[in-house]
Amino acid sequence: MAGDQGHSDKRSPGMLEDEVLAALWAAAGPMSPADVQAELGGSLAYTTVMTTLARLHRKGLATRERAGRGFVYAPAVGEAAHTAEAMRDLLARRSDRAAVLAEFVSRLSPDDEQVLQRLLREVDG
Amino acid sequence: MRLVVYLPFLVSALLGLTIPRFGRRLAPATGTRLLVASGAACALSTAFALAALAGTYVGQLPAVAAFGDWSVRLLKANDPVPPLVGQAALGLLAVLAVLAAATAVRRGLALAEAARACRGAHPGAGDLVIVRDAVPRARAVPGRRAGRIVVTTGMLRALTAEERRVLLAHERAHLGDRHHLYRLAAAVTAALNPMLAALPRTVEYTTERWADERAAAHVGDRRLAARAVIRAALATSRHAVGPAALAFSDGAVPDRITCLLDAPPRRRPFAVAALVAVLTLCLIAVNEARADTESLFERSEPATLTSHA
Repeated sequence: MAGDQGHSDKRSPGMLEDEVLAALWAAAGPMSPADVQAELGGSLAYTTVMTTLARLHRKGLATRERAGRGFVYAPAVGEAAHTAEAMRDLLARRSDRAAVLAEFVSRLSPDDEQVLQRLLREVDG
Repeated sequence: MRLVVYLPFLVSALLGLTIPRFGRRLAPATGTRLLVASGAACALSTAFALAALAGTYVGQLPAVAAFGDWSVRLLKANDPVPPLVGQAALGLLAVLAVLAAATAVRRGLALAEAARACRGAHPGAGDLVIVRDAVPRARAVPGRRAGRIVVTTGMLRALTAEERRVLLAHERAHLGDRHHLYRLAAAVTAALNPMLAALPRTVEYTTERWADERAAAHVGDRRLAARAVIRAALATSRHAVGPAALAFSDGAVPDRITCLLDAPPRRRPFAVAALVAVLTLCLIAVNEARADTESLFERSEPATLTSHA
C-alpha cells in the first residue's frame, strides 16, 4: 500500500498501454501521438506515448493510418461476437458470475444523486 | 459442559450488531482483514460449540457408544446438556454446514466461470478488456494468474483521462489485494453463522473503500479520486432508468465520496482492540468447550472409575 505513495507518475508499460488504449476508445475519432499526450497530461514524454501507441498497433489493439508526416491511431474493433456477449453478461448484474465481482459504483437512489450533483460542483469548483 | 460453550453465540450476536459500524470506522485495509478474521473466528467457534453440544447427545446413541470406551449410562448421568438442546444443535450444525459448503461452491464456481469468460477476451494491453457498450460499467475479474479489468466504452467516455487512471488503479487494487477472497470468506462465514449476516455487505463496502484509498494514493490526489467515483456513479445512474432504477440504495457511494473528500483514514486502536478481543474470546471459548467435552467423556469411562476406587 505504501509502495504507491509518492510515485504518482511511475507507470508500468502495461498500465501505460491500458491508459492509452482507454484514451483511444474514449475519443471521438483517431488520435495522433500529440493528441494522446495532451489528453493524458503533460507528465508523459512524447516518445513514451509514441512507443506505447506503436506497441498497441503491433498487438493488433489499435489501427493506424498515415496523416501528414505521421500516423493517427484508432482502437481496433475485432472482438468475436460471442466474447463480446460473454463480457456484457459479466458486467450486467444478471448472473451469479457478475454478483461475485467487484463493481466500481453501485446504484444510486434519487437522493444520492442530488447529493452527488452537489459534491461534484464542490469538487469542480 | 459449562456455560462457556454458549459464549461464542453471545460474542457473535454482539459482533453481528456492530459489524457495519466497525466497517465505517476502521481504516479499510485493517477493517477488511480484522472483520473477516474475527467473523471467521466467531463462525468457526459457534460451529465448534454446536458440535460440542451435539457431541454429548451423539455419544449417548448406543450405535456410537459401541465404538467408544465410555458408558452411555454414565455419560447421560454426567451430561448437563438436555437431550433436546443436543438434538437441536446437531440439526442446526448440519443445516449450517450444508449452507456454508453450498455458498463456497456456488461462489467459487461463479468466480472460476468469470475468469474463464475473460480468458476468451483479447489478452490485450496490460490487463484491460474493453467492451463496446454504451452502459457505463466496470468490474474487476480475478484470475488464477492475472486478473482482468473489464470496462465498457460507456464508462471510459464518462470520465476524463485522469479520472480513468483512478478507475484503473481502483480495479487493479481489487485484483492486487485479492479482495474477492475476503468477500468469499465473508459470504461463507455468514452462511455458517447467520448472526453475522451483515458481514458480506460490510466487507464489500470496506474492500471498495480500500480500493478507493489505493487509487487515491496512486494518483496522489484524493479530490480527483472522489471526482472519478462521483462521475462514474452519476453516469451509471443516468443509464439505470425504468424498473431497473432503485428507489433506495445502501448509501455506499456517497459514503465513499465523503471519505475521499475527508483526510486519509486514521488509526483506531480501540476498534482494533475490540475486534482482537472478539478473536481472543472465541479462541478461549473453543478451548474451554474442548476441555469440557474431553473431561466429560473421560469421567464417563467405567474403567477410570474402578481404577480410582
